[in-house]
Amino acid sequence: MLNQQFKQNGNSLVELMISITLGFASMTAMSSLVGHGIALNSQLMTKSRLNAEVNAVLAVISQDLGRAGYQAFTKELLDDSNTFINPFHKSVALSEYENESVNSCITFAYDRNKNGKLDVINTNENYGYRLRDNAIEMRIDGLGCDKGGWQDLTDSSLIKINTLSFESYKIAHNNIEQTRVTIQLEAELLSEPDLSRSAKLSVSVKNYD
Amino acid sequence: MFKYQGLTLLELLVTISILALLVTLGIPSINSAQKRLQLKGAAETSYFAFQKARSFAIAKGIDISISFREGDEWCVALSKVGECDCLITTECLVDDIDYSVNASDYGFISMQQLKFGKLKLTTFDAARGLSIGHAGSLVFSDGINQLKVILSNMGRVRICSVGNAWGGYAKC
Repeated sequence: MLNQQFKQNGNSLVELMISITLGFASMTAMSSLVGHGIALNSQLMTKSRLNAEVNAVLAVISQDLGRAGYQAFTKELLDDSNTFINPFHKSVALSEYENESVNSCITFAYDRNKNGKLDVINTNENYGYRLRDNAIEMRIDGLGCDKGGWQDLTDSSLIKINTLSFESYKIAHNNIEQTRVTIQLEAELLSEPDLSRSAKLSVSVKNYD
Repeated sequence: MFKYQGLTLLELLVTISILALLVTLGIPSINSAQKRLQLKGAAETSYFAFQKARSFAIAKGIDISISFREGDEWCVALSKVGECDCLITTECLVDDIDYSVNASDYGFISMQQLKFGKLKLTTFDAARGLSIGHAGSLVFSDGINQLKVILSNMGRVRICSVGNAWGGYAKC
């Protein structure tokens, strides 16, 4: 009641400046939050692509490798193992392309068309995977590990494969020997080398002794 | 004696017009940012649909197809029955589940230059998840930028940018 003489109309300059500052501060905070969200989302997307790529490649290799040595005429083979020769027997071989790391190329064969023979025309039943120039390649037309002409399985503009190695070993369980192949893979994103993924997978090669 | 005076109508009008100017300048950039985000979203989601189809083919041991429809009412959908209309969600299913991407989530985006044969279909084979004979590509556009999703015969999917490298995608 004592300050009746002050008549206040609207905002003072100081009040206006304070409110502008507060407004700006909150806008900056909000926009940086949105920006951060977008950047994080984009990073997650790229990371998911790395994961998807690695998972897909591992799935392809492990499923295919699991078939190594398969021959459709199992009964004939068991009935008369002396005259019937399994052309897919012991077909898993490890080597590497020139200047690539040791055991980074695996080749094998299986009876894809179930005719009991190792076909090389039309359907080539020689399969394989290898590391070359930081990409994983799939064997085409039965070309050897030392040859070119294999097809890329991974996108070299997105990911860089640092390691691919295969190791074949035998384990005995209840006196039954089993061949297993361990696949080891390490990949990183080209755009963000900090983001990498490594995976190790052991595949049982059931048709193999 | 202090006498505080408030804002005059003129001052208020100046402030409002400056604000209006800023908003008019800002809206197109927000709009284009939103379009770019949608474009990325459409390309990435389709990319993951391709990868999913490939993994399903291998894991389930069945041929998995992807059906497409181009234009503004575009769609991409996985199916295990082969050819189907991806706009009808009950048609393209994998084990009764709908795995589709369509224009309703990406209002600004259209699909162009669909190159997956006459049937507008691609297939990943059951044995090795390859798409031999079914390679192709499609382009998503927001009116300015374009992203191309390319599928190789080996079942490899990649995204690239038509024209210039943009948004973390290399030039096609």
